[in-house]
Amino acid sequence: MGARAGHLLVAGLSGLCVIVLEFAAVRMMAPAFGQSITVWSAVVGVILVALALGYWLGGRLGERSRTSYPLFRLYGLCALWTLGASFWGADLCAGLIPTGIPVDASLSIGFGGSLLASLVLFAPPVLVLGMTSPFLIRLEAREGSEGRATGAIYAVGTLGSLAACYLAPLVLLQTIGTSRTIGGTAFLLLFLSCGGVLATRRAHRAGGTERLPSQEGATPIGRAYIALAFVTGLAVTVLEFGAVRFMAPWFGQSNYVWANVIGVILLALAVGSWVGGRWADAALARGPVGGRVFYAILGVVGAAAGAATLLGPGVMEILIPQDVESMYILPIAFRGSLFTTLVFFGPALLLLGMAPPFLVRMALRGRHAGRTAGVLFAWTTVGGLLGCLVTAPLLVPALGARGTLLAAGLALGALGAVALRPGAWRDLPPRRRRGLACCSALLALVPAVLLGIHVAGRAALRVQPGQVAEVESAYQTIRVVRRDMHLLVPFDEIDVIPALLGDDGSATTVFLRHDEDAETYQSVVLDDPEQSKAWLTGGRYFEHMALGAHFARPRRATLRVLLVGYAGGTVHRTLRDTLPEDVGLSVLGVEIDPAVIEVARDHLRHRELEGPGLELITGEDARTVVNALPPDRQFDLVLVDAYTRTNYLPFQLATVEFFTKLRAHLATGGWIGVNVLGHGMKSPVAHAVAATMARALGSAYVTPNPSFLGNVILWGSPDAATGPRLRADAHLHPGLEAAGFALERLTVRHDPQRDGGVVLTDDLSPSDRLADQEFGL
Amino acid sequence: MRRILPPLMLAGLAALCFGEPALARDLPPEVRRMAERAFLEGRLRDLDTILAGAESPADRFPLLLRDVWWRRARVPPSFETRGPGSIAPRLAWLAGKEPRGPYPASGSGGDAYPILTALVRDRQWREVRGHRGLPQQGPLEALAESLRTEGEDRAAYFAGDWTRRLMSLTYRGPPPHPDEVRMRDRAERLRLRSGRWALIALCAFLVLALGLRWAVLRKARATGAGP
Repeated sequence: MGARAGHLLVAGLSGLCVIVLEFAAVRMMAPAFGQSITVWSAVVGVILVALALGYWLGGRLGERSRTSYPLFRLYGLCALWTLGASFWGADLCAGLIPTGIPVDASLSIGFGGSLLASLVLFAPPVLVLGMTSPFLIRLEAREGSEGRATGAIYAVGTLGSLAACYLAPLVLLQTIGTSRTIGGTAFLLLFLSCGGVLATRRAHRAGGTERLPSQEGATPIGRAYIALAFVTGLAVTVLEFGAVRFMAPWFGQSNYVWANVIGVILLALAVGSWVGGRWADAALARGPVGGRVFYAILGVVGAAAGAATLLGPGVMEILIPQDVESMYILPIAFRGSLFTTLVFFGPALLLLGMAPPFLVRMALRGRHAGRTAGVLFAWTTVGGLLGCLVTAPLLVPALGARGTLLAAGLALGALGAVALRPGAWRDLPPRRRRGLACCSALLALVPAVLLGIHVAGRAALRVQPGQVAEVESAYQTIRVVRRDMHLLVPFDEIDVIPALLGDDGSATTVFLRHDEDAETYQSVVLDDPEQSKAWLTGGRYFEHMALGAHFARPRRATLRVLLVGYAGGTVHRTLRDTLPEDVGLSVLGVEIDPAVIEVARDHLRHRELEGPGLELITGEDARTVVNALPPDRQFDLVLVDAYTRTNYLPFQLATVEFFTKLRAHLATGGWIGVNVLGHGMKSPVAHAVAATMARALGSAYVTPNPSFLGNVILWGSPDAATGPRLRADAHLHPGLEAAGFALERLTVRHDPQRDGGVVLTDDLSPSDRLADQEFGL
Repeated sequence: MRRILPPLMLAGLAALCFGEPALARDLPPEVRRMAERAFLEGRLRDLDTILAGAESPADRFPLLLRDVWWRRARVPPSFETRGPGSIAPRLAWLAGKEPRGPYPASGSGGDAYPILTALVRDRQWREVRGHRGLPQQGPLEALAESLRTEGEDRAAYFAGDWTRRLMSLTYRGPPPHPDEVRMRDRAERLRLRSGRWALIALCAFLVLALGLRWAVLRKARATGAGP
């Protein structure tokens, strides 16, 4: 293998390792600190800062080095550090969980804990990996072809990252677990280190390596280029996150939709930087005038982002109509999102991918390609970090996904237009100069006009029949839909509870949908309060969960309930409306997205549930809250109804460790109930969670939902010798009779020996993969 | 008259002595069947009304079974664990601790509530075996068949078909509802269509990238700045 091929291989594998470590870091933190946006920001922030520092240091180190020895030696250290992280990372995270202090105080420490853990465990190896690209660019760059070298290294590194985006979340973490993934990365780094050192030494002995002269005292890089690098990094991240959120109302946010978006974007960036490197060398060979090409590129990207927001919704509506049933939507969403990303964002990102080589080539003074690339990559990464930190938490909630894309487009278009002002074309004839000036102004004008219309109108991203409100939060798009719905009974031909049916069998129902792309919902309330009290949720799964109050035995006069995944409070309301009058209700609810509660207050009569009986924690992951619970906090009933990105159980809320923690907070005779959506009694996800509950609690029972065949409720109790037994003197609310019937007549004990099911742990939980398989991917 | 008076008195005395059981009359079979169907269909509160006239321990047994095992009372009712031969083994079973053994067969005198027996055994059976441990033929199967031959189609549906259908829940399991078929076909068409579009987009993207590269190389060669 030649030196160039070797360098490209190292660049690709280092790009792969960075992304694998990033995914593994988020996964490793989740059982200790959850996956709230603050924790996610802390982990990604640390990784990107380390990467930026690595780029900068790599540029400096590369300039001082004559061979690639120092880089590969550092790789050895990096491998050992990563190996240590794989062995002791989980323990370190667990050791940082605060205990013995009030829940409210503990939660803020969770953010600091995740920051500290990621800083200690992952910042050093990522810093070393970040040094790779500028170091290799320095080794590869020859005079006049710096752009090409930068483009090649950047492209291959991006392709490595692209591979990791599929490999890490969809394969490695789902099949071998977090620790082994990190350990495997350590061995890969060790292999690179040993291989690199040996290859360099052998080539040196053979006299085949060029011992480059040390290059100290480089001229400083222009601030304008640094600013441009920052802006392009910011733009890439804003477009990436904005694209996912923009498409979410149609395609959801499943793993495969994310993979499509990230995959297309990284592929476009890789191709763009490869092509851009050659283009940059060719354009800039004619002098600084060639830099105009780059500014024109920025302008076109801006206009393309604007056009995407204008045309995208219509196309997506054709690709995925309103009434597709949730079970069949994932394959359509997968292909639809691929098409939309390719058509609307691929070309723009391909052009944006040309930025790094162009910038390096434009900013280059003398033979300092490595250092120039290092500094510019560092600032690109800082821009990317800012994009990560502001897009989902700030820009999307403030401007909406469409507004965010338009703002990014406007910024890029304006930048291009300003740079391409008439004065910049002095060497052209006046007529062409005027024409180009008009084109430049148009580039900025398109997104500017669209942004103005969007902000003035603030129209919903996607309108569904009966939709009354749409709110874009930091986590998801929340949609309130109001419809006349028929109440559900087990089967049309059998009226088990005739009282459930009204005169025409329907009631006005308000649904809270999150990123749902199909006819599913997270919360529901019947619009008429009297109907709501009489018919509860009209036969939906919340009633099956609320039934737990009638077999979990409270020792006191008050039933103590922990609701994991509180959403709009539907389970809470059902419990309140169905408990006997002499039993009080004390609820601790955990909802990760505070905007959901705000919407529920405005549209789902949530205020009537608030009061002394409800302690609501929002903005925190339920795992963090459970970790932080005082040891003496006990519950008679724990109900887990948490879903993330529509289809997935948050993995950290369905593991042996999680259920063991819950068990410690379960009062004698208490029960844990988990809602699982899938293929009913044959659902692999349900089997896996049931096997996990059986491992942690001793037994698990599966109750199908006759009203919605895909849904099952899993029950487990460490004290139960048999399945759940309703109390005869509980005087079941008529609305719960259907659920009671299913519980008594259909509940099955889950036997791990016969029924199978993968036991899910904090380290290895393939729940996402099982869900994807179940939903058709 | 005097001659027949003593035998009449003796007969009256005998009737007083041995006629006691006759006072606790058995419920008519229709009422028992009504109670069983209420159990079958989940209307457990109706049992109090249906069995209000039950006098014998055997006839009142469904209430006891409901409150002690099927839907346990917060304070389980106290009961005499010894009873008539027909329910003696079942009273002993109810008095036992969880987990109880298999629901026993009725004692001498026959089973007053065969559907109830099948239901209890079915529940025990489900709670012992896992989902895949349940073979096709369960305790309710034979019952459903016998109900069907008796013309009790609705009860037979509950006992057999409905349960079997729900226990094998799957979105793709037969027999699908016509709406489901229509929806699935439509989804398949959409899937194929979006797949084609995605493939076209991917090809177009690659052509664009290659075209750009070709244009760049051509230009570079023309200007002499390229390789």
